[in-house]
Amino acid sequence: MTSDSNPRTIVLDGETVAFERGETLFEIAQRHRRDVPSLCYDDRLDPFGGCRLCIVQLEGARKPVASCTTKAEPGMRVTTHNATLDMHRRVILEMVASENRDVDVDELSGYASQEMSTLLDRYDARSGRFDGAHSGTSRPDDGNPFILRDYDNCISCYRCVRVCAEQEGDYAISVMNRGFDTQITTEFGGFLEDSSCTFCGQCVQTCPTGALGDIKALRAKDVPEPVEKTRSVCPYCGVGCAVDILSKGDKVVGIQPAMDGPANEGALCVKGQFAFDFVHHPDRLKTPFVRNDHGQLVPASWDEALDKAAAGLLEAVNEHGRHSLYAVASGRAPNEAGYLMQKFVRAGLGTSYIDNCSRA
Amino acid sequence: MPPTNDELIARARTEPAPLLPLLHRLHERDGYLSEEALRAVAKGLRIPIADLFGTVTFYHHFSRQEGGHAAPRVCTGPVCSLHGAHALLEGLDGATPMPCSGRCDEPIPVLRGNKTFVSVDGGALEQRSTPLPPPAPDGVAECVFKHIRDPDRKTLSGYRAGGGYQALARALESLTPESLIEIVDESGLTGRGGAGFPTGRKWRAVRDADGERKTVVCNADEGEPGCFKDRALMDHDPHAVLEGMALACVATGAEHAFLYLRYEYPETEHLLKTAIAEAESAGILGADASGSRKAIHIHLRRGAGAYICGEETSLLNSLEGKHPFPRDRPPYPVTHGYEGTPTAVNNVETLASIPPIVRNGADWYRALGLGEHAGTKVISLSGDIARPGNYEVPLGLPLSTLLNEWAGGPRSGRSIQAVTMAGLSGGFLADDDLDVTLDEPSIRAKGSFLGAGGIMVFDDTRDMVEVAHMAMEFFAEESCGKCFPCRIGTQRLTERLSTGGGPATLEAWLDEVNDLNRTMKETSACGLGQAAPLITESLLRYFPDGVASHVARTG
Repeated sequence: MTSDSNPRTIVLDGETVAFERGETLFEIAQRHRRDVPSLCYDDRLDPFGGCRLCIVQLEGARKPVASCTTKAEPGMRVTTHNATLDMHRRVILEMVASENRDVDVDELSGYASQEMSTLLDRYDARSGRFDGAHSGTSRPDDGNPFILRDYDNCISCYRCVRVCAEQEGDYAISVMNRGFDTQITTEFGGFLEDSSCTFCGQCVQTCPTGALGDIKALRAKDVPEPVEKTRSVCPYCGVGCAVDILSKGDKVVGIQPAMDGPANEGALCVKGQFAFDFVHHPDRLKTPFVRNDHGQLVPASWDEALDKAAAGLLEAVNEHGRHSLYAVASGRAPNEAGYLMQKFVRAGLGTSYIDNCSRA
Repeated sequence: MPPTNDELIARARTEPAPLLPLLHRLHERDGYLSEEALRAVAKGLRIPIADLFGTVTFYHHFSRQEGGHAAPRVCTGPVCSLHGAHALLEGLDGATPMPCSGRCDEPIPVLRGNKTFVSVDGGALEQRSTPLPPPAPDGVAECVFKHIRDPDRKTLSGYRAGGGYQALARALESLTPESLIEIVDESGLTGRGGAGFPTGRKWRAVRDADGERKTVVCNADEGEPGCFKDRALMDHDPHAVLEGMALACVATGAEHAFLYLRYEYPETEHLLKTAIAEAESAGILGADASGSRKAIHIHLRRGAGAYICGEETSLLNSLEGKHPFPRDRPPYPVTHGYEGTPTAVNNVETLASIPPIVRNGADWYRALGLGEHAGTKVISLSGDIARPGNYEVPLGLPLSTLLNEWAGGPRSGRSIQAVTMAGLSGGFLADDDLDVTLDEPSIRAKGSFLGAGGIMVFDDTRDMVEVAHMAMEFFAEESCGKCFPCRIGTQRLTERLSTGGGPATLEAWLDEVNDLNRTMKETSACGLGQAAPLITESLLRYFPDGVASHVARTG
């Protein structure tokens, strides 16, 4: 395709490429696998222009421009990589490395937690230059069981604040102070538990440094086996959020939302994100139980259990009438199972007393 | 009985840009911003409480401690520091430092509640009005200062006696907006806040932009250290600024204009309020401005202490009650400004120049400059100079003429070692480069810029590394925290200019500082981070020996 046949093209590193109206230079470069680095970018969020790593050279512009906030216009000539751009990127990354306690965090911290350390290695930026004060202040006093607030590793990209506002609509966290004193805060600097945080964990999963960490997954940090990811669907409600189940050996150690999950696009709720301990819990039911003649629960086969339940239901109907029964379908069941449940209650039991736990 | 939260919030809901005025009323009522008051504001104005809390902490002067509003704040800007600000700070009970508060011609200002006191030569604190500009040398024609020394100039009748509001009347009666813009275009007037964008072109862009509703904003957030010209203009000639704003409304088609005033000028706020009320009750401003059947409303809004709010897109976010980070550009304010409306953001001096230009014509204004340069520029001159103050110079005047002839030269027995340009943002000029003329092309050729026109003078007794350290500390303190190169870079440069920071060898020190300078200049998101490294760059250029001994001493 040439600029003659389609005016909506730019020249990207010497190659003429087409773009959609409203597309940014960063999006175009990504589509063409230019591997332009960034630390403040999350494609679900409004471009922010903070980290300045995604700078590109635009012909005619005095200075490099941030490609994430620059919309493509026909005829632009863009260079994504040259010695000057890479020098600036390396200096910025050396600055970033200098403000943190350490840069290597466990991959169990969160989905994006390796972004910074990967870039530091790619640009050979662990030089120790620009040594000086560290910028973040961790909150070990926040004793919530889910989200580690290890701000000693924070680089003030504000992805957490933005995902909380733009994706979750929670506005639980914000930016306090300014400049090098900037901190991520809740209202009045309190604990997450006392804020409007719902512990959905999206801030954890978008954090590029592990400054926000998944406390539950990190329990398995010292387990020697490698982390395996298995794509699945969240077992809770019927929305069908795609998740990656993290396991080490035969143990589930954590859950991460699938960024490409069609129903959730990286979002989860507190249950889907953090409530997986039932999997290996010693109290977990593995067979049906029925009560024996002494009223004690004993393991049983499914046939025994279903017979017992059917007998109980029939006895109630015979003794108190069909409207003595009321059924609640689980919110974890998909639509099809919910449909079967109401069919069973209406046609089988003969009552209209059927509801769903999301409402009941 | 002081007003209740509910009463104040109900009032705020009827006003445009309500957050800052509401916070100021609560701050003054309670002496600080309590958690309870902020929770009421969040609920009343429907702002998430975490956002509101974060935004309040952004501003220097909003106190979250009981009694904070009344506690003394001492200016520790570059010039006040030379005059003993730190000793004054230590001697005042409960005092905290504040960045340059725009009174460098009469140091040292101390803010207490809503009053500015001056400690002259470290003596007792007294309230004094803003100094008038020193008289211009014989034969020099002025534009914005021409009438500023007239008696009663700050009153409506005094302003009218000097031809005030005639330009507005003419514009409303016999000029089309297009011909008004043409006059401004032809005068060659450019933005006097520092960016130097042609004013007529800006107005035309706003007028032509899509959208019925347009907005005018007067940027009076004069936060640049060493700049105090807008304060003099507003304090002694407030109606000239209002008339300029009204003309901007006529030209662009705006009905609402905001004057965003920096926090540190409480007396100016009072004077402007009086002037706006006078102009409204005389029918000059209001729903039927000057009988034109056009509405022109001017709203006064007070900042809360943040240098970055002088950057126009931060200012707009601040007006809208948002976190005052600069916005990404494009789109520019001329198409997407206040609440998304096409907005003309103009500096105080720019707007005050408009009425005399309309009265006297574009040619008259152009001819005020020397050679090819059109018009005048007010220079705020301070530091080690015999007669500090605001001087309105013809553009193109040699710097040495201003320093030595107009302002009396250095203190006796001393020589000038260096001056700053654009307040602090242009870095230093020294040695042969002091041989410049006061206009952008001449100063830009030396790697600096004239900007808002603040010039601080440092004589041969001063340690320029220490001056540079103070300057960089200011930028680090005022960096908003949005972009990485500025947030981290200003901090790292400050550390390297202070005692005991950075590499021990000169080679490594220079290697780091040069890299920081270059990357900050090229990749920072706004003017703050792009300008801050001019300090270190010019320090290295003019004072390499001073830098070498600094590194040898501290490394």
